[in-house]
Amino acid sequence: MTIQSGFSQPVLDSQACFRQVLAALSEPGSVNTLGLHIGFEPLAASVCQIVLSLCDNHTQLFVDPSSLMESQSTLDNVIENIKFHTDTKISDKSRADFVITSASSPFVAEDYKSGTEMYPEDSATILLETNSFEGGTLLQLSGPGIEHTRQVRLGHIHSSLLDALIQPAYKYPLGQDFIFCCGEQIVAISRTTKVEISACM
Amino acid sequence: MRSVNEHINQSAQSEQNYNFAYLDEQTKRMIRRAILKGIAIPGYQVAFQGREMPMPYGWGTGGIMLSASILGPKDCFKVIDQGADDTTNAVSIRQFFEKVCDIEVTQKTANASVIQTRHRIPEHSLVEGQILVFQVPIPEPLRFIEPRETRTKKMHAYSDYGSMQVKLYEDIVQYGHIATSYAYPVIVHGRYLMDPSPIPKFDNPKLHMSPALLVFGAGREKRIYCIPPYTDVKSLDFEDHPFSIQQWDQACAQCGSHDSFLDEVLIDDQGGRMFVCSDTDFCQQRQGNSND
Repeated sequence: MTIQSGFSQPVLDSQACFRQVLAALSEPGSVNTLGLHIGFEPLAASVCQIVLSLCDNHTQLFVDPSSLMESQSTLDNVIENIKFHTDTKISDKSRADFVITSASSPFVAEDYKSGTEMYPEDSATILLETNSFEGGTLLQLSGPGIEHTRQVRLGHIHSSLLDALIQPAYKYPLGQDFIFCCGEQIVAISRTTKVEISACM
Repeated sequence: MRSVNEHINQSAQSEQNYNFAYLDEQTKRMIRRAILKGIAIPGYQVAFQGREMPMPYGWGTGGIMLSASILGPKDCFKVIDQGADDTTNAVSIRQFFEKVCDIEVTQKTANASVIQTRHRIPEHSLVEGQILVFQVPIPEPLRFIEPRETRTKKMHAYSDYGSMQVKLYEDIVQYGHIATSYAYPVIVHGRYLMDPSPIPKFDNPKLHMSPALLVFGAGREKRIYCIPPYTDVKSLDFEDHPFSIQQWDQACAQCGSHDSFLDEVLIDDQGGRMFVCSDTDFCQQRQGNSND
């Protein structure tokens, strides 16, 4: 068990990371870079920075063990580091505000919070580790934050996740917001974003 | 007795004891999470835990809490109150953030990365990447129709917005036209009814497909809501009474603008009056003055 250092300047670094996440979510499909922390191995740097800047003892975090970690001790080490720096609560899938999982593992939207008609904000933000933003199916996005359309590739993602993006399990305003993370880069897909498989390949 | 200079030095040092941007980190994270939810659900009012600020409610505490959570050392900050950079409220908020953030401030709309505003949207068109923070007194557009929060919450859940159309219809019956001229209700992304804060309806068209991110903060009522860039925002109207904005016969007395929002100013006790742009930066630029 080793505790690694967090942000070198917690106040300014979390502000800078928040602004990148803000830009990513307000312009779905745009690639934004979080380069202020190397991350807790084997999690992507961007995933760790989002957690470091947004999670605290008022949020619940679920780290999907099956899809990410090589061994139980690696998982424990990552969770200890996250808990040490953020004091966030580790919870099960159904109650998590933030979820860390892999884009290449099967995705079941019903596992996570999606809000209620009265409180649609009570829903999970899902951080998905992916392998690249250059490979994978070419997707066309439209909706709030996108002037006309925007094209994006999300790397190798599981077919169930692709289905969930194209046909969300919940009717707006219910739903979940996705942040795809690859190394230091992030691409967000909001619940308002319409995702289609791009016609021009 | 200490000299004035000693006193100023001492108070300047004491401000360094505050966290960057005044608020503590826990509060900023909570507000940041609320902003992100607000962006994911455009026009929906996200409740947040408002904090006591060093100024009374009604002075823009909601906007200040949002700005404090958004601003970083690289930002350039502008504050307007009714379009003006030089009114008491705008000057004091600008000085507050100069003190607690030590950031660059500006009066030029084009130079600012974050603009906090009360009751106006700048005339100079905003660009991608800019963030406009609105101070909101009453975030709930249905409040004067239905005083119970439990009920308005349900009305939003069911998109039960007929009563707002009836309110506008009553205007037509009584006055022959829709008399609502500010805080004119809008539907955001085809779903949520939203109060755009008391901006004149003249500014409503600027909300639609705005390249800038628009965030709204109500300090007393503890609500945050957002409009992401390029979002459909429709002002409520009727087929036979389409939405229209204010128009003036006069041009601005100072810069001659025909297409800006004008304030009527009394200039003597003989009934003399003049019309001037409410956006001071826009007016100054048109007159060829640099105000930075």
